[in-house]
Amino acid sequence: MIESFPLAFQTPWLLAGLLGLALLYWLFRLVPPKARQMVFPPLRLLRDIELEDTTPQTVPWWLVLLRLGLAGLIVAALAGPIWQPASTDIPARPVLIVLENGWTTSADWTARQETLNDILRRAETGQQPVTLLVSNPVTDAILQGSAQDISQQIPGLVPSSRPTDRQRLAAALDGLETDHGSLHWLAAPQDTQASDALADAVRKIGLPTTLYSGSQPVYALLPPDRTSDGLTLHLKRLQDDVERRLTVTGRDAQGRILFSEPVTFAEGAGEAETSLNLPLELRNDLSQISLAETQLSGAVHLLDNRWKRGKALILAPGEENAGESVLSASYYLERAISPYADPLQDSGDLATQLTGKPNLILMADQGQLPDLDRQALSAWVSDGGVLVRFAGPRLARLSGADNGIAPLSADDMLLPIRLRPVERTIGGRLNWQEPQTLRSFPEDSLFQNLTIPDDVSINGQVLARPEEATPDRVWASLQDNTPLVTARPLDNGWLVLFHVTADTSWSNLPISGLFVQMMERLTNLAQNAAAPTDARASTDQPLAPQSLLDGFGVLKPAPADSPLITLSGNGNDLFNGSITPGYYRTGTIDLAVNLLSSDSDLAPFPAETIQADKALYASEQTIELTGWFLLAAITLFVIDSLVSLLSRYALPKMTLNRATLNRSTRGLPLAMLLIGGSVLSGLSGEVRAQTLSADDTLLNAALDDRLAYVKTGHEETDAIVQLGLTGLTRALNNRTAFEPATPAALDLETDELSFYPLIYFAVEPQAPRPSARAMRRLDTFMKNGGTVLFDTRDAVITPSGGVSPAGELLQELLSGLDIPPLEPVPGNHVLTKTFYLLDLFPGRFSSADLWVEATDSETDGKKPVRVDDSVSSILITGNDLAGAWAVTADGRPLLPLGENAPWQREIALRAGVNIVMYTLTGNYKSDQVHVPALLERLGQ
Amino acid sequence: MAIEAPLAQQQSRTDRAAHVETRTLDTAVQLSRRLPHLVIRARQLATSFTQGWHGRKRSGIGTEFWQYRPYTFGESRRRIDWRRTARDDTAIVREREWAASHTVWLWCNLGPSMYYQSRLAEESKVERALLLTLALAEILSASGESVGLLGYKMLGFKTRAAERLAHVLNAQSLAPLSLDLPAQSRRHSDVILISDFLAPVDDLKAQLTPFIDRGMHLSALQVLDPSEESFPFSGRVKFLDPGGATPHEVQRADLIKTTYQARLSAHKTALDHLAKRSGRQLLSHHTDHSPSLPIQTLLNQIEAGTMA
Repeated sequence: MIESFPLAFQTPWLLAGLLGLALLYWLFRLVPPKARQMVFPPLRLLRDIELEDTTPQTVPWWLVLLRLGLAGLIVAALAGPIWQPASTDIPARPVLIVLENGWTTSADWTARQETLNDILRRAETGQQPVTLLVSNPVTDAILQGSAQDISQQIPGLVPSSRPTDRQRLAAALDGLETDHGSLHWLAAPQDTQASDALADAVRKIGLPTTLYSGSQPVYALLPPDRTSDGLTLHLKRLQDDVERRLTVTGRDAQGRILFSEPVTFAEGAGEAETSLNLPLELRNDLSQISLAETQLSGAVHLLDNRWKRGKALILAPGEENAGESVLSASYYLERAISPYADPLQDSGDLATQLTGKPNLILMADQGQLPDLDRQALSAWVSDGGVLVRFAGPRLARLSGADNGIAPLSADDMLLPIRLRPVERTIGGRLNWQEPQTLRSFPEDSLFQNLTIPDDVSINGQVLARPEEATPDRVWASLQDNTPLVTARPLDNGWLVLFHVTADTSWSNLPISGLFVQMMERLTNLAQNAAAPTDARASTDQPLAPQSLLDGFGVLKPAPADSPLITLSGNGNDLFNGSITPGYYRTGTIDLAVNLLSSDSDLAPFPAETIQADKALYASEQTIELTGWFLLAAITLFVIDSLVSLLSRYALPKMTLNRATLNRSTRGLPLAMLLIGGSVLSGLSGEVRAQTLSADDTLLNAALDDRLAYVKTGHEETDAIVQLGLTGLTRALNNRTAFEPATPAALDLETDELSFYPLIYFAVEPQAPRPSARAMRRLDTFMKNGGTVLFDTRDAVITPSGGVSPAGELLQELLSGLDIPPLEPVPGNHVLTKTFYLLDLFPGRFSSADLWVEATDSETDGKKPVRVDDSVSSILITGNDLAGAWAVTADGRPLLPLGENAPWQREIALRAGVNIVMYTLTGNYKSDQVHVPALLERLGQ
Repeated sequence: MAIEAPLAQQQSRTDRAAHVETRTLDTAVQLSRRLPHLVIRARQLATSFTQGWHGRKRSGIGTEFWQYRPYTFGESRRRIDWRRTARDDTAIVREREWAASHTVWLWCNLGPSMYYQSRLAEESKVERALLLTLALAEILSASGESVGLLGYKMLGFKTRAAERLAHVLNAQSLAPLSLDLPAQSRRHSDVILISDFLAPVDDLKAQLTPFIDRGMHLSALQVLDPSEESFPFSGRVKFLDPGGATPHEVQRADLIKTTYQARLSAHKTALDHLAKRSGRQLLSHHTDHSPSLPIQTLLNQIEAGTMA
């Protein structure tokens, strides 16, 4: 930094580029523009003309200045200028630094580090010893030493994921031997309980204090609330007042995003909340909710098993032997609950089953419970369980007074309501009443807003005592207002009674969709009620940290030496900041400990009440000037261009000479390139050469359809085939809708084959043999739907019954490939009708057959054309088709044919057209062949 | 420089700056390739000018009938027009009008300065000069004049003169033609000189005086590039000489424009003065103008001279 002038450069060595300005000046000023060379015959006439002013015209001084300024600005901008108000001097006494590194400081941690560095740097120049107090230390809370020692430890200082521990700072300050000259307090933005204590401690020390505070917004994500169909998210913020839209993201244990929900803070609001719909299945998978925009550990909320899928215990007495009967109550209950909770089957001993920690117990028709079971259930419900009971003959009997037992209280019977000892039958055979349907659910019912299907009818029920059926206990009722579902909280839990059976004997409710929806709501209720239970269950057990949140909200495996923690009391310690948030394990259960609880407060730190010099963090007071420098340079450049333009067009009479100006304009970019280029190359390091490997051949092949042939390596053959395919291409263009481009020559070793529908393979015994790899590629091409036309071109020279050299070669080539059985083209093959009607496929010769893949012989005779789904991948002929197609550039035939040449040539071309059409359209024509017959039939 | 002896030119060529030489030679080769084209253009140009035999308005050797007169004793019997004589008793001689063919010498400067072409013109000076020469040869030969090429020292293209002239020029690779008095020079024959006439006037005077002294009529056509007239240069310019003389650098070309134009004008006046000694004016032509204009003027000058 320059003394008394607060301009600094990030890369000062780049200013060496300013030396280039001298070069520029030299270019502009000292070197006159180079003379144009001009041949001029009447040279003799002007040979001795005397000119008064022979000094060469140069660029005017103001233009030189303008351009030097422009170049200088660019160099300066590249050097990264920074405007930085001067920091106050530090008195030559030991320096005391109070560093707060609670979770709210991670948002601007780099700025804090820089500030700390800056303080240390200033202390270092004065050689003052430094004492650094850390609020949430990883190792030592008090660091002492020279500024250099301390600054070496700065990288080890990280923001903590706990609240700022000002109590610790206050205690440390109190116990400090002080001979310090100044105190620097790097404060966190959040107010805590011990803020006042720390402020007092600072005041007591009585040192000249500088309080640093940032303005980086802090966002916090409070624990979400479960709703019947999703979540409600609560957010708070600090140091941010404008309307802001953030995104809350929910992830599962594998890190997959389950939801991403925007939350908007209204302008001036410190809190925001939003509700979102999230199916229970997804909700069960949630493992972490976080704010996408920040890296604060307070913006991450961890979820554990308590949040996850509940367990439902199904008790169906008297059905132990019923097995999987589709008529049993447990069957219906299991089917209805399984989408939302894992059903636990009744296995006899209730006490044992309760250790499985069900959140929900579904109890089908049950009479009197054994005392022990009743007490266990009662305790479980009080603890936050939800007991859902269903009526039935046994319950009805139990309620009856005729058994001689005094009516029990509802609590004793684990019923939400006392029942009348009658069982009501509606719509029976000896009954005049119609089966009852459901009334819509009351407003404060758990089931409100559920749609009631029309076909749910109730044939029987147990009746509640009317005086107890108060509206708050009735969740559902029939049209005649008799309660169908009643519920009552019992301590933390709920007792719920369906006044019908869980099977279909009294109603068809258990087989309706409504029943499933009711079960979902009940599961939600059970999970919400059960939340505190587990926390309490783990009380007093030592918890081993599994993974912990760091100060930037990243979950990391816990270090091996992390201490075990013990939760005491009612579990509120989870939120008091003495525990690092993360996952802790007890037994087999992972318990999530979060930084913030629902009632956590996020108040701003009252910096204004502290008596101290106020300062901002480093990065917030520096102003990067690069952009402004570049802007100024661009402005100058525009002015310069305007001057050039004006002098060239608008002001030809300007004292400024046009030619010289033009010349110097040409020189300027060069010089700027020289300077800027050297600077930039220093900055950018390696310049990667662009390797544009766009293969034009591939592009051409892919963009146009074209015929292709295999280059045999035998020049003459290749030339004939090339001309042959050109002739066929011409015929196709003239006669058909298929308009291929010029044929492609393929090298089987290297070229991509997949672009071509048909490859012509002239078998040339004199040519070098294709390699095995080439044939394998050809095989792949054929397997993937391509067609290869092998032409041995030997029909005349084949000895009768023997094999020609080309034939031998073909046999050898194909021996390694998977070739299907072949047959000569049958008379009804689709090849004979794809474009022309043909019965022969002649080329220069006509004696050889065209061989194709054999089709099933079963269909022979039944249909006019063979139905063959796929195109034959191989065609073999010996007729030298290409030879017959070959034409010279002026359209005359290249090779002689036998007698009747024109006609045979025409047929050969037609054969070629048919083959190409066949490879392109497949069996399409075989369908078309039916059309006349179909039309005829339709006409009748 | 333009009218230097060929030998001296060869000598100076070797001294020239390489690029100038290359340029000129290349252009000469290119120009000889364009000769057929030039011949065609010249013929097209010639068709618009018809030139008749000049009747001498007295009896003599000719094809046109002039008069019948009685046979005088002592005359050759072959001159008797027997058909006319058969009608009368006296022998009648048929006299024809005397139609004498005129001799016109053409000279075209093919020196390096003529290869100059600025952006303002569509063809170089030499191309235009050749075109004019060929066209004039065609027209004059078609009208029966005897056309000769100075420097080639040969007289007598009577038909298809443009083509034959082109052959001659091509055979000599368009080597510059010397400006010497032809051996068979006659009084009152015409000499048409086509050049840029940028050489010093004194040199020209020395070369042309023999012609004037012999009583030949000199027609001088100065072909200039428009840029040589308007001097459209500004700024710092280094002027090169196509003939290879020392280059001349001017710091502010725009400042010397008026001086240059004044000097050019003075040069032209001197030339004109020289031309007037043979009773003709100096004609001026620019390569961006139509070539038919100077042809018409030249033909008129020759016509007037013949009549005189």
